[in-house]
Amino acid sequence: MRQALLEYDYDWNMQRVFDQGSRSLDGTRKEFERARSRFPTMGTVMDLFYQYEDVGRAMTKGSAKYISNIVTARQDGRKVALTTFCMSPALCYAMDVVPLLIEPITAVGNLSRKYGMGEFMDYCLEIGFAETACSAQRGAMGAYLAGAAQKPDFVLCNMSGICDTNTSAFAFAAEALDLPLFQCNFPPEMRGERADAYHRSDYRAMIDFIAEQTGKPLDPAKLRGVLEEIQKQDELIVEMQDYQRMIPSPIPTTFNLFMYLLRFLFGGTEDGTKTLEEMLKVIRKNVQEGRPGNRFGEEKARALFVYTDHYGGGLPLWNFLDSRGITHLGCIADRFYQQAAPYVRDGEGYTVDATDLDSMIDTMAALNCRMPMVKQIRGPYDAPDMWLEEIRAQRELYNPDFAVYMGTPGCRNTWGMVKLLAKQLEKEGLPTLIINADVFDERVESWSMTQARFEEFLDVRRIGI
Amino acid sequence: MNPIFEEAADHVDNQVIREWKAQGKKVIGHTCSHVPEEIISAAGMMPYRLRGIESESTSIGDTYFGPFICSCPKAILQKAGEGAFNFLDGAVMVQSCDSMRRLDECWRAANDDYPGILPGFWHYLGVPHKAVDYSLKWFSEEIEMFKKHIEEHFNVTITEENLRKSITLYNETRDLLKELDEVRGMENTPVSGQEAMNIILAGTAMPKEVYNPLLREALDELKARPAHHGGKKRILLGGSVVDDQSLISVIEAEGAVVVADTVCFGSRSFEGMVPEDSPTMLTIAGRYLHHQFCPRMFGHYKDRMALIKQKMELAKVDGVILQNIRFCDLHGSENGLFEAELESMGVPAIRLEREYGAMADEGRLRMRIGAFLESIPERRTEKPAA
Repeated sequence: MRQALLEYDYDWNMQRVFDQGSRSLDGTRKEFERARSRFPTMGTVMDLFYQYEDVGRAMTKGSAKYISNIVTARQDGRKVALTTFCMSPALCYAMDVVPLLIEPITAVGNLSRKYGMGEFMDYCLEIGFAETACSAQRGAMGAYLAGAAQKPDFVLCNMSGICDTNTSAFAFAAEALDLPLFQCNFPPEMRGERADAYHRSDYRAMIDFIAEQTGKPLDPAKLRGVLEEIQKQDELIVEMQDYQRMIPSPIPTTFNLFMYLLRFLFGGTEDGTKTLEEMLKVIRKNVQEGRPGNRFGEEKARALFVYTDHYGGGLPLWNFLDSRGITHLGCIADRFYQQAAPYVRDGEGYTVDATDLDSMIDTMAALNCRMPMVKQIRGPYDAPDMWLEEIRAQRELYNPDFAVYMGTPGCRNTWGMVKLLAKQLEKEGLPTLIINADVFDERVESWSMTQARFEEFLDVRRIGI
Repeated sequence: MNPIFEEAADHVDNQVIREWKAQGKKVIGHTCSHVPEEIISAAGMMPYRLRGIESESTSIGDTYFGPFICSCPKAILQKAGEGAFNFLDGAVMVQSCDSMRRLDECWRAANDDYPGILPGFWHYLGVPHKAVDYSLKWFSEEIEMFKKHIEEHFNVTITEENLRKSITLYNETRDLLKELDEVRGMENTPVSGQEAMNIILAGTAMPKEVYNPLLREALDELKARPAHHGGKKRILLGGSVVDDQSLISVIEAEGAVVVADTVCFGSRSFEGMVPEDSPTMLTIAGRYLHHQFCPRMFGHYKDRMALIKQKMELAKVDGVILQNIRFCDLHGSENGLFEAELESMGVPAIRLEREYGAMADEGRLRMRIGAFLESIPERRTEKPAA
């Protein structure tokens, strides 16, 4: 690793960038433009936030606050848990722990650093981590392993039984940084008495582990407060996902990204709820005015992303979709399986039950085992509640013109079944594109190449033309 | 040495299987060392660990699996698609790792294009990734369901007595294989790593009631043999699946001898016994879940490092070769930790990434292994056998 990379702590650097960026949105257009010139690599993202005014301000201020919490946790007397986007952070908030979600932090680095997170990814390899492992973890993890960020206090992994590469990354980090590790493990089935009992036992074991690390037991009042916010957030998200059914969709193209970022970073917090409320105001206004949410001004096609989006610098995927009038109908990351969500079938989702401590913990366990990826790729792709069923349900609801799979080469689990999925979807009449890029690392395939593949697919299949 | 070991190690099919099938008996294939073979054996059937050996291409595997997948399950699917496993009466799929777990769907999908390649009995066994009270309960229920499925499908009864006999038989195999480990770890060992691996692999492809007497004979023969691998650099081979002799043959052709291993299919598979006195699904589950020598059992790096150290000590190892099949993130990432820790202890270690199968990149591996062996200081005390 270049020595220069260690001159500034990565986490503090991110905190300063986002803090200053969020302040620039408070000023006049002239002041914003002046400030924007100081963040050349974040220009496109800053423009986006500026355009969405209150939503943009809430997103950047929220992100700045999230990163500030990580870097100031120790002086505030709080512990930091190195964890993953696919674990609901709500438990951490209820137990006064700061959740450090490694994958969003990688994405944040890609958005704000001139050369993305490549060098941190490579540092992981320098110290022995597998080069074929997922870049989503390798990015930010590299900074923490290199000592270019404050060492967390313990590790919470939520992907054992779901994703080997993710779990390996957390197990590796725990050993390399000599940190206590807890892994939530998931059976191959999602529902049923046995699976429920397993999820609940495992979740309680995680609570015990956190209590042991912090020296503080779970406070039922705090958990209740967190669940109340989750309930509010669920209602807002469900309403948005219901609007997504409309043709044209009134949802601005980037809002699905905002939605899941909020849920990942601020699940169960007031900050998250307020931002979702702001987003919903924009959407309702579009509905009232009969306007499509995209910036193109017309809906030319509807795309269902069956796995992830693309997190290259400048958010090129969303810009591309906007420029072509293609509606983003969501991806795996924004499906949280609240029972009221439009795509959820009977009994497939969770409901908030805050009757007593046990029911609140059971709710959290039910929510946690339905997090993105955790829910739908744990068993055979064509088994009940799994990937194929999920996409069929969403297809019926959202009327996509095509489906897209994109992820990272590290995603062993989905690469093992995506050809079967694509073949089946094509057989059922849904054109499906498989992208071979790495959505966190443009060195694997540049965005311009990915875009060329999109355009070729759309041209050949006569979609959105 | 009985030639059946080499035949069984080198080929998907072998004489023992043919004779077994000729008697009208059943064979159940599976993909993981966490499958409790005792249950299959207690049903009067032969457990068979699936391998993709003898694959000359992965054209069928590549049709169903994506590109960034370990070549081991692809090679198994290749053999399945070619009809090489048509002798199977059943198969058990396990979410051993992310590549291997998708063999389930890919094999089923391939059956649409290559009808008849899917065995009549098909079972998905959910093996947890940790050993705690609730995961042991889960796994014991899984084993119970597996037992019932076999009983119903094949119209057999797995009695407690048969289960007890089966457990005793398997524990005997483990004892005998441990003896083999001791023999190959001796100073001036009488057995090459290749030969030892053939003997171990043969046990995955024949019933234990046939294998154990053959193994006993082999051990007697080896113990009576004059030592003849003295003076060579003594290597421990670690990491992911090694299910043929090709990699070991390269290491030994460069002048070393593999005296110990912790590879999948190798000697880590026979660590741990099932209690014989009162067999229950829970005690069987206990042996298989507490068997944490595969990195799929997350959070047990230190246990696995301890196993390496123990084997290094017993076999007086000069260096460690850690290998993994490309895209095996489990072994790939843990090998990095092992290498760093071993080097810090002054033990020469190297990490190799390779493709599964008959040495697709033999030249590169030969060069790296040769250079590694050259870098190991000469043996301290050992003298060549007279």
